[in-house]
Amino acid sequence: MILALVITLGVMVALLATCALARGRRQLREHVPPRYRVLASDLGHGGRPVTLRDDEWGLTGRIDLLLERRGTREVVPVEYKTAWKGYEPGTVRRTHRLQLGAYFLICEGDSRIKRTPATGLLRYIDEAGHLVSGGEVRIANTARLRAEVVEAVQAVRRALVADHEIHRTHNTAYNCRHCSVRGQCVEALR
Amino acid sequence: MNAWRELERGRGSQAPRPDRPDVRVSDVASYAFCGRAWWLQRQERLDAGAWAHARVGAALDAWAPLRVLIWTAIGGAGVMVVVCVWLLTRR
Repeated sequence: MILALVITLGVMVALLATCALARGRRQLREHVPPRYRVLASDLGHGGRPVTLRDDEWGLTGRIDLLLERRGTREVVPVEYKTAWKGYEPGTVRRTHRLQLGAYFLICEGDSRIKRTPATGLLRYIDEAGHLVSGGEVRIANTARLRAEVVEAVQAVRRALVADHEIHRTHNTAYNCRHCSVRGQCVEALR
Repeated sequence: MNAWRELERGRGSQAPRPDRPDVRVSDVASYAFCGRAWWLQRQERLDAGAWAHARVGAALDAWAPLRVLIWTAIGGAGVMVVVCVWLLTRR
């Protein structure tokens, strides 16, 4: 009687472990493709956040997810963004592309990595943290993107050093309509 | 080509200085969206979207509770073996 009870309990624990294993594996595969491993993660919940620094450009940052391909040791920075309402598969914001471009520079310049990524991934997720349909977009590390990033880095540095009120740097009403500080901005476009 | 050389001029290995502060990648993206928004956000840091990011982190770390379950199963099996041996050998 006791033996049967113990065996039943054991089988239940084994079943529970198998279900949890399958679920964890499925969730992990959504974010880490086969043959890749996680080098760094700034997504909380026990990840390994690593602040990377490019000494040459004085650029610092924490990549949401940095993957390394086993064997070739190719690195792939991954940046997660919340998909906007009416997101169209395959589309990216210019600012998101620039941010990923900045991570390309950092991977190249950080003494612990010292590798130039050929590509990176922008992943658009919904509010529950799931990848939206067509929300994974591969961005190539091109000379043009690099030039845009360097220009943006220098503009930010100039603004940091200036230490005075910064004015609107665009004439796009869309940006103002979707700006999180619109309520506090006296220069917002209507 | 000259424009490219102009951009490269800012390069040089050095530590952050007051006149050459480090630039955070998140600032680059924010400034590219709107310089003024970036400046206003610097006054009051906003963390919209952090929850969704945290959910992805939870998925990545799905192995952590799993490890606990696996060790529980191993422990349970060990206890079962001990109980079975005790049941079979008692007089």
